Formats: sequence, C-alpha cells, structure tokens
Amino acid sequence: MMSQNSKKHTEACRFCWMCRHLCPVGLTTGREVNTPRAKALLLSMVDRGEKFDKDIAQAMYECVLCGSCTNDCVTGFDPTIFIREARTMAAVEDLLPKAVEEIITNISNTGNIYGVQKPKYTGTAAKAEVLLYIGEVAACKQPTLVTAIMSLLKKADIPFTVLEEEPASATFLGDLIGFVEEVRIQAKDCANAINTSGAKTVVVLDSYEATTMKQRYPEWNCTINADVVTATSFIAGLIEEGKLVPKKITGEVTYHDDSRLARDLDEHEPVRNIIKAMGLNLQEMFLNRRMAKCCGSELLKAYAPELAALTAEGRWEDVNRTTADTLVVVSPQVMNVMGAKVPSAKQIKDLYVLLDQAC
Amino acid sequence: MNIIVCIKLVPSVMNLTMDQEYVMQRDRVVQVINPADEAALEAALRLKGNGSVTVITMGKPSGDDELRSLLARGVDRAVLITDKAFAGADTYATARTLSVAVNSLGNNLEDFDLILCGRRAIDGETGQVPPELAILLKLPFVTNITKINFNQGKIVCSRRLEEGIEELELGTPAILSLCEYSYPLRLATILGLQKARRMQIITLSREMLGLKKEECGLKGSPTRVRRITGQPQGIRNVTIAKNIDEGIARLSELIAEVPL
Repeated sequence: MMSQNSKKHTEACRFCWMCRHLCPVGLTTGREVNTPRAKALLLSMVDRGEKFDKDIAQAMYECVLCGSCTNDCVTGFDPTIFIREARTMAAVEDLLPKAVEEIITNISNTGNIYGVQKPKYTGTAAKAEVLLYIGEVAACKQPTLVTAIMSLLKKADIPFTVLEEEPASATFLGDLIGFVEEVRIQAKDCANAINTSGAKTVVVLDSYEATTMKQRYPEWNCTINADVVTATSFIAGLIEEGKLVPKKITGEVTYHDDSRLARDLDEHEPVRNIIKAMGLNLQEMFLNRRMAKCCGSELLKAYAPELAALTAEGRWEDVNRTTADTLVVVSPQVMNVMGAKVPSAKQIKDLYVLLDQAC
Repeated sequence: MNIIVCIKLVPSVMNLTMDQEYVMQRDRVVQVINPADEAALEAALRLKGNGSVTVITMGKPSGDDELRSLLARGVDRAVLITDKAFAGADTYATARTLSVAVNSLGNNLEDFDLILCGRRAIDGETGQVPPELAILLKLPFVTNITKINFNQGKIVCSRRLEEGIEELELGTPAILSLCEYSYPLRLATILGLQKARRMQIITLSREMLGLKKEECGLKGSPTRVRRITGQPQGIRNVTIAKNIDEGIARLSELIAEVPL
C-alpha cells in the first residue's frame, strides 16, 4: 500500500542513470539492484501486481537514505520517499530483514539501536538556557567527542544542561520503518522532554538528529519550543563571538561533509570556518558540500556492517586522492563508520576534540 | 460516539496545473486528503471512544488507496461513492449524493451522533457542501470549528469568528465543519496498516444509492460555469526599505499610527 506521491516518484525516472554514478552503495557494490533507479523499477513492478517479497524488501534496506540521488536528479524526484514507504511495507508484510528486526527490538527495549543502557552525562547546571542533546551514537560510542564538546562549552563559559534520561529522537526508527505513528510518538516524547527542560536553545550533536528535529518534527506536529541548532554552527558562532579563541595548529586536513549537514541542512561553512580558525590548511575532496558522497551511516553499520565497510572504503578512496593526511569529521556516526578501518597512511580526527586541544 | 467524516481528495498543491481555460488538471496529479478534512478526521478519531468512525468520500475508483491509508489510522469503515454519473457534480449535487449515502449507511440518522467535514476544500474553495448537507439532512450546523469536546451528551465547540472565538454547545446529532490544521492528522501505525490490508472498502454506485441520473453529477447540478479567467497580478504600492534601520524606523511609524 504505497501513497500516490510515492508511486509518482517511482514512475518518474528518465533513465538518465546519473544516480548510478552517485549512489554510495551502488558505486561500491556494483550491483544494479543497489541503484535508486532499480529500486524505483522494483516498486513500479509491485504496483503492477508483482509480489513484494523478501528480496525486494532486502533491496530497500541497501540504501543509506543519504539523498545524493535526490540532490542530483534532473527530474527533481526523491527516491528516499518511496524507499521509506517500502520499508514501512516490509514491516507491515513481516518481511523485515532479520538484522533490522533485531535493531527495532533493541530500540523498543532500550530506546537505542545498540540495545544497551545509554551512559549518563551531566551538564554544568540542572537548568540552563542551553541544552546539549547528545544522541545515542555519541553517548554510547563516542564518549571522547561528548567530553570534548562539553569542555568547549565550559571554556566558552556557556552554562548548559543535558537531559537526565535523554529520549530517542526518532531518527533511527524513522529510517528503519518509515514515517509511521510509532515514530511520531517517539518524536513527540523527545520534544516534550526538551520542552520540559525549559531550555531556549537545543544544541544537537548529531546532524542526523538535528535534521529530524528541524525538518520532520514540524511536519509531525511535534513542536520544540526552543531554537534547534547543530553543534557545528553553535561552536562556529562561539568562535565568531570571540568566546573561543583557538591556537593555530599547522597541518593539512580534508573534511567529509556528512549527508545531513551537506544536503538536508545545507550547512557547509561553519565547519570550514572552525577549521580555518585553527589555522589548518583544508584540502577539499572532489565531492564536497551538497555533492558529498556518503560514507555510510551508523544505522547501516548496525544492520549491514559489510555494506557500511564498503561505503566507508569508497569515501576513503576520495580522501586518498587529496594530499591531506588527516580526515576531519564532525558527526559521531561518520567517526564510527569511517574510523572502523583507517588506511595506514591516514588518520581520522574529530573536529571538537581537535578544537578542544587548540583552545 | 459514532461519527461520520466526509472527506475529499484534492490535487496536491505541490504539483497543481491548469489548462489554458483555467480548468484544473486532475489526471496524473497526486491526490491528497483536503487539509480541513484531515482536521475533521483527527477530531473524530479523538472523540469516538468506544464508538466508530466512518469515512465517506465521493470520487474516482483510484481513491481506494488513500481510503485504505485512513483505515490504517484508526478509521473503522471507509465508503467510496463512485460512479461515472457523479462526474461534474457541483456542491448541491455533491451534498445530495452525500446525504443519500449517509442515510443508506445506518437504519436511521440516529445511528450517528455527529457528522464532521472540513470547512472548505482547497480546490473549489466554496465551503458550501457542509451547510448544504446539513439542510438536506435537517441537522443543526456550525462552521469554522477549531475545538470540539463531548461532555455529558452535549457537544461543546469553539468557532472561529473574525472578532474572536465563540464557545457553543449543541446536542446530537449535528454537523460541524472544521478549520484546517486545527487537529493535525495522526500517521498510520504498523498494526493499523496490517489490519487495513484485510479490511474492505465499501463502494456505493448511483444505482445502489437509488439516485436518478438527473439527480447527480453534471445533470443534477444547477451551477453552470460560463467562464473562468485568470486573475491579473495586482500592482502593489510598496516602498522597499534601503536597509534594515530604515525598515525598522518605518515599521515603528506604522505601529505608532495604530490606535490602542
């Protein structure tokens, strides 16, 4: 049962094949089924009576929902719309891949994709105008990053709070089963928790979650009363205001624009300004800003680790084409995916950790 | 409460096109639920309690999918009134068809406590169907509703007026038409979608409703559209401020002119 909107998008392909050259999954696997165009054709066949089976469902999960195909489609159509709906269909028809089912179980048991007790962090005050929303990936997998950003806020003299029991933002559940009421309820709980804190600004560490809060929550009538800002733009603002003054570091780095900052939030310059403020020489990758090639995501890594390793490898190839020896990242998800297998001549550094050392 | 919700599928404003005669192109256009009707449906789902919500729409057979998506959101029964004879219906012919359909759904009108509609559709923008339906069904009617509660057998509702909000109380059965966005419609649940796969959509044709050909569609419509013309773009007498300070200064002057 797909919406008319989805059907329109599945029928929209002009067969120009440009998405084939952009899809980070298709590029690394070389499989036709991994192109956005193929996914549209599969669903078009389903609309014409073909059975929506396990293989088609599986194909819908071999996608990072990075939006690279959407960004460059000449007809302006959006494969992420029908892929999300097809994932809903997979859940409805009991055709979810086993690994996806396990993650959904983890989310329902613990609120996070890992199925673990989320570590607790404390801010500088129980109540403050600034709330730091850490997110599950940073909280569970990147404690160094959390420590660094908290240290930066303290150095800038910004009192901040964190939610004692930080609820899930609905980002991952929405990517797993599409935009259904279960996802909206999770989003609403998160918005309520943020509103109860009384904060005026929510600084969101993971750009994936910032995108959900800024773009999806209003669509789902989940109002956050505070301003939602990405951690990158907030920190760049602190440097601009002179509240953080980094020492100059020498070196040559390259930077990977993650899909959400690059395409959904159109936020390209704050990170570059932070890099510039530290005096680092930035070597841009061939595909940067809106055209950035996705390296995979933590969610993909959770249910299809081999695929995530391939997408990360694909992005490392782009890094290798630059003269920089260090890759700078700002997303906890990128750090986890790209950091899993770093080529011997390269290193990966988190921007907040670097900045914290420089301030 | 047992509630009927009348909904209309309208072309999505994101891809609306008209031909040279300014006639809306409905083919190959994505149809969505009219925003005000979404509010009526959400209000019904919140009010129903142990009762039921029945959705009625008049349109093409292709509306089946959209109705199924409503079953997945908690609607108990979906009725699609579809027949070539209904094509070209004006608001009166539409209201007449809907009134006959409402009467055919229960043994009598008392089977329903409430009929909810959107106050207007974004394609036609007449806002005439709900009051016409109320007259044909001989039921009390209130429009521009932003809030509804059911308390001790009475409907308590808020109606938006130009000067403010009016609180009204009325008995059942009644017809209310809701303002768009007053009740944002919930999404479908996975369980709801699974249930909706097995549910039947009730289809009603002209013959099933016992309507004569001259009572419905274009033949049954007293309205005749003689001509539709484009609205020429107006020329606004505006001055663009040179900078933000000038804009603020001018705005302050204008605010000062407003009598307190």
